[in-house]
This record gives sequence, structure tokens and C-alpha cells, in this order.
Amino acid sequence: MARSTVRPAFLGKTALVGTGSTEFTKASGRSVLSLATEACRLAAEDAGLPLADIDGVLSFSFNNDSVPSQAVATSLALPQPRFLLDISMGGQAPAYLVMQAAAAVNAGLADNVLVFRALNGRSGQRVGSTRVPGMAADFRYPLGFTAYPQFIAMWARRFLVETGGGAEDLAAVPIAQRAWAAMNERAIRRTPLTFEEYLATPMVADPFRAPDCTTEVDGACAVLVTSTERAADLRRRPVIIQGAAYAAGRGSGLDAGDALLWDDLSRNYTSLLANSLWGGAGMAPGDIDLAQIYDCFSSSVLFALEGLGLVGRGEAGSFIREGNTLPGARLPVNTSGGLLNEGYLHGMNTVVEAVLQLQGQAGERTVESAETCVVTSGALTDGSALVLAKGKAA
Amino acid sequence: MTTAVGRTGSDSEAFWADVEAGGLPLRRCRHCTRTFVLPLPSCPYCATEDPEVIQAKGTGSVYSWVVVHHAFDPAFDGDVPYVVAAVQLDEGARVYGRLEGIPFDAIAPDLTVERVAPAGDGRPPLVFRPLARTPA
Ligand SMILES: [Zn+2]
Repeated sequence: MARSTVRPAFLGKTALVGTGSTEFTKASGRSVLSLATEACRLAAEDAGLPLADIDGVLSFSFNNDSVPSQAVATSLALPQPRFLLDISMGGQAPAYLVMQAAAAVNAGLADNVLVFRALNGRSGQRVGSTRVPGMAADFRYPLGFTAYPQFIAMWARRFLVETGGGAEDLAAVPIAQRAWAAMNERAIRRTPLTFEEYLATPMVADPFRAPDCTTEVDGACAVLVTSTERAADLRRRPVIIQGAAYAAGRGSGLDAGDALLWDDLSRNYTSLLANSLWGGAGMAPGDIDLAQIYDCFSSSVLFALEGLGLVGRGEAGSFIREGNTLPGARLPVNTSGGLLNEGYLHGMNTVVEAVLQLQGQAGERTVESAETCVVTSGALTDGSALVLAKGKAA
Repeated sequence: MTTAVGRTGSDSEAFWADVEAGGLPLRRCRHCTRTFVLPLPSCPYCATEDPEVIQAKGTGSVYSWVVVHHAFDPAFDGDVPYVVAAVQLDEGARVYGRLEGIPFDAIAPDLTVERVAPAGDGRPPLVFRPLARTPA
């Protein structure tokens, strides 16, 4: 049976037009609803759209760590929401929810849709030490195999085995991204990192050391999706959704950490969705100017650069070490410093950074010449990605 | 009734009870004969219903591994550092287990391993060690 090659109908017809973020802190001292409301309000203000014009809200949560879209619609006094959706998902969700928002807008289910993620991820329920719900978890936990750094280290080890890589390949990711984080006031980790310093940091789950792992934070991020037609009247330069894909492979698992049926732990979902992503966008990997890669752990950047075809098999580590992803280089990657350095808003901040870059709103780290950006969400057996393109200035 | 560390007492209970008694149960598809550990109602490779339960020999090879230095669940604080391995059993299924009896830096892909008899008393329920070589 041939796979569908149908291009999503919303591509080229929908756009991201605003972003909003709260502070990222270790203890917000606020309710999740308060954080969510602030980020959503800021996204609407950024776009120059009255709150009363918003008729859709989407969000995701993990183990009930957030608030429902309906609650946010209520606190924003939205007069008549037509599309509210909450999904239970981890880091696979941000690009996926932007796709749902774009599809809803294009289908006439709503006109202007907010997508948010909000959580007290540090002071409240911490994903690093929370049990993943689902039946496969019972086959990991009694062995002391209990947390994401461990689950993903299992993938990273096999990746290093298959590609002949080593600690220098993993280390390249946080080292390069610190150069970007230095320009991002919101980043939690901003000091430069050398390979020698990296080797002196504590092991968490070998092959991962502390700098290979993201940092949990409290906070919220939101983006606003609308049609390209309406976007033309708004405040910011629109960021056009040019490509979009989600993929879950066969045997993608029984819970959000399960990989027992995943034959090849050296390749993740990015290898599965690359063709439909680039095909739908009408672009090739070489056409991309920026990449915002979901990086809960360093290895997921290596997986995605390869999986998306931005580099060849086994080349991601050396590509980064050679400086190709740094400020001023040919393919800037994770220009906020990434989740590794900015903090873990479960990848919603990864989407926000892509939009800020193409709007020209990323301060001194803005890559002025960039016309296109690829964004990924997820690290394991399923995930999503977007190809975004700079629209005409407002 | 309390359950052992990390167990919720649901679908996995029969598996761990068997493992603690020295068994290592797998599901085998009655059609394509592939094996798997998770207690699925049908084969994840061909969707044939009602896989049969067989017992694994307990031998296999290391596919990947993690050396845990930080226990995110305090129940395992006393165990660190320890190794969790993804073991490809000779029957084909992959299973997680502890790996003991080898220095961390000597672990290599495809290392052949065998199951260690369960010791009980709070020891991890499923432990592998390098396969003992038969003297030539
Ligand atoms: Zn079968």
C-alpha cells in the first residue's frame, strides 16, 4: 500500500503572527493559569489582535501538569470560543499543535487560534522525577530505569555505537548552543563551555553529563496562528507555515518513554517525517537557513540533523564542532541556546524562538539574512516538525 | 497490599511474579512467530490476536546500555552507579535488565549475556551478567 503523499491543505495559507512568553524561573510563585493567561495575552498583543477576536485555544500537558484551554479562554474573557483542544502529550506536541491550529483555521473551525504551554515545571511537578503513565513503564521502573535522562541515554549510546561517535559529539551540542545562550537574557545557562569543562561535569546517565540535559523551569509560552490573509493586517511580519508533518513509527510504544518495540534506537521520528516535511514545503534540506531543534538532551540534536537530512549519517557531531551552527555560520541551530540552556518549556519555547527569528524580533541574536527555519518537536518514537518562511513585512 | 518498587500491580504483575520465580516470559505470535515482552493483546508486527506465552532461555546480547549515576527516584539512591541494559534475547525480543559482573568501561555492543538467578531481598528482579565461557 502506497503512503499518502497528500500535502496538508493549510500549507502556505496559514501563519504564525505573534508570540508571548512569561519569565522562566525556578519558582514562579504563581498559578499555572496565571502563567498561561499572561503568555496568551502577550501573544495577542504582540500580533496586535484584540483578545475578543480569538476564537480558538489549544494546549498540551503531561500528567495533568497544566490547565485546560477552556480555563484560559475564561480568564482571557474570550466571548465565543469555537475551537478548544487539550491533548496529553510531551515534547512531540508544540509543532503538532501548531499544525492542528493551522488546519482548524484553514477548515473554518476558527479564525485566530492560540497555542500555549504553561507549567510550574520546576517548583511543581518535575518531569524528570515523575512517573510516566502507561503500561510499559512497569517494565522499566522496577529496574531503576525511571527517568527521561536514562531513557534517552539508551538511544544516545546506540547512536554513538552505530556512528562511531563519542563524548566529543554529544559535548559539541551544549558547547555550540552556549554561544547563542550568551545573547539570550532569558537563558538559565549562559556561561561559555569548553570541552575540558564539559568533561569535568558530573555524569547523570552515562553517556549524558549535566550539560547534555535540559533544565526544568516554571513558565509559559504561546503563539498565535491565523490565515495569511488576516496576517497581512496585523502588526508583525507574518511567519508562513510552509511545511508540516507528524510521524509515529510502527511500534512507537505504549507510553511516552517506551521504546521496547523500536528496533533501531539510533534513528528517531525525524528520519520518518523528513520526506513528507520537505515534500510538502517544496523545499530541500539545503534550502534551510535556520534550525530550531527540540533538545531535551544533546543527542536529539544529532538525531534530528541527520534525520532531517541536514547532514549525512554520523556527520552531525563534526558538523557542529566545525562551527557550522554558531552565530554567523551557515546553519545556525538553536539560537536561543536551546532547551539545554534556556530551560524546558517542553519545546514550546523552541517554536517561539523560530517565530522571533523570522519576525526579526530575536534581539542581537537575530539572523537577519534568514528566510526559512525548520522546527522540530520531540526526541523519540514520534514527533512533529514545521518549515517556516518569512512573509512580507507588515 | 503494597507492591514492589516501581510496580503498579497492573498488567505487568504476572510478568514480574514469573521473573521473581526464575522465569522470563515472552509473548510469541502464533502467526509470524516474532516475540515481545509487553503484554499486548495482539502481535505488534502483524496484528494477529492472542499471542502465546513462552519462556525465554535467558541468554542474549547487549544492544545498548546506560550507566545510571543519578537516581531520579530515591528508591534507587543506594544502587548507583548501576547499569541498565537493553538486551536482545536469543528468541528475538528485547528486554531491559540490570547488567552486573563487568566493569563499566568493558561493556561493549553485542556482549553476550545470561540471566542471573533472582536473589530476592530487594535485589533488582532481572539481572544479566556476561556469559560464562566454557573452558576450551
Ligand atoms: Zn505476528
